[in-house]
Amino acid sequence: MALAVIQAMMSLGLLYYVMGLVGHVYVVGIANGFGYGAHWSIALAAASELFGVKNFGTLYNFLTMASPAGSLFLSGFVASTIYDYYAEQQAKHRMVQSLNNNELLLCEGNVCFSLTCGILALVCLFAASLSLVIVHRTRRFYAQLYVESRR
Amino acid sequence: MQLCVLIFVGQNGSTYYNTAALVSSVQSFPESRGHVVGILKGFVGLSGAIWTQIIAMLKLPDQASIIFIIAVGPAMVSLALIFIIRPVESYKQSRASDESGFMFIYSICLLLAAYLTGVLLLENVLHLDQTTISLFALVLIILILLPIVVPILLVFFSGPQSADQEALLEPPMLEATKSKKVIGESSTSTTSSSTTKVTKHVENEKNVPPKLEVLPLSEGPRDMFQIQARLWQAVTKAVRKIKLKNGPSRGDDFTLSQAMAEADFWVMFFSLVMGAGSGLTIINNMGQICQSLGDNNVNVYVSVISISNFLGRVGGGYFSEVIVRYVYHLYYICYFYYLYGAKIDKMNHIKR
Repeated sequence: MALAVIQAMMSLGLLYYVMGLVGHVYVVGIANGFGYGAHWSIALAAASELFGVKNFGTLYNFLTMASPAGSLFLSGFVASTIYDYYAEQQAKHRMVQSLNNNELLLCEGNVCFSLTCGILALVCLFAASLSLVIVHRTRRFYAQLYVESRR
Repeated sequence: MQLCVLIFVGQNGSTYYNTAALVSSVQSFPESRGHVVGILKGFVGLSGAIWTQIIAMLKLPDQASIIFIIAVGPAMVSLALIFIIRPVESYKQSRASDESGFMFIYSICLLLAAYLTGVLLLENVLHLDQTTISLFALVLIILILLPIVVPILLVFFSGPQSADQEALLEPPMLEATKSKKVIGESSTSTTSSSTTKVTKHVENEKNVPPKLEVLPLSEGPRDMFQIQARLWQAVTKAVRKIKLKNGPSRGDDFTLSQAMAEADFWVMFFSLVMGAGSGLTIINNMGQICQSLGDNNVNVYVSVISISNFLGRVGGGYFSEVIVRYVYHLYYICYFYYLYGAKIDKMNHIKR
């Protein structure tokens, strides 16, 4: 059930991503930072409850690997490709006939990251559904756990 | 190339710290993991801002000495603490003092975050002179040291009292556990003899209930309840033992390879990959996002993100614990009433 909180956090973040398409960078920053931070405390606590504390060190570090792995794909592949695409489009649009081809490709405007934000929102939605799956699977265990601790 | 090696070693070091602190504290507070992990992670998030302030106070001549302090300072702290820290017996029961201690540390955390935000804003808006900066940093250091008061208070002031309480608590509890054990042992032997080497617990459960109803009929409905409950406990214990032979169930200690055989672990892993990965992506690209929107003061956004990150860590720990406590309490009550109703139905059936 702790994982339901992750889900809530992520759908919150997701909602604001979509709002972020309009360009509220502050909102995106706050919501995203909050969601990202909440992942760690909740997921690790849940992992320690599900898988025991004896070998928690290895499990913890394996789960920590998850975030760079996700970022490697999303940031290194998805975001950069979309950014470059729009930057090239804009460069063509500006009709840069000026001499240097080595000019830095810069993207301006809301359009650069809106598609990325949309993709990220979808990915978050999927992650939220996955965590709901965990919630469903571990519900009985958690009920048992907290009943026992209350006795 | 050099930078790469440096980053590699540095990140390894921080992960070691994280792991050691997290694992040991989770083991010593098994009841309130959410709180512990939240607080620790929150301080990890805050430490960057804290170091910035301290270095601003010291006003070192060059970069090399700053790096030297950052490299050696934490190592000195942990070396000094080696002699103090020792393994504590893990408390199975959470004590009342834990709760107040956690609340105190939470309030300190929030105070620290608010204070840091205020100081950063002030320093950005006004150009302060050295004395005020060092004054700010002094207050900061005092704030950091405040949580240490909690264990000191617990050890020196409430120590004898709590010992008395434990002495009062212990005998009945011990008796209770003993009696449970005796009953459990006797009935596990009976169940295991009746269900000779049945490994599937479903079958185990199915085999026992007829026995339950045969036994207590002579003793009246009141005793029947108790005996049923005890037998039920015994059965669950036996089932757990049988399960242990097959592999750990949820909540037992897994090794990595055992965990990797569980579907739960992978679902959780991929959920983290997607959720945290997208979060990290946004944080990484924040600079470019700001640039593309025509904003040039990225610093503000970065500090906004880091502070909300901290709040998320601390708040996530706190609220997950709260939700787990209350929702499952409610769930348990409903479940209990459900069972109770079912039993009453059964009793009526038998009476007829």
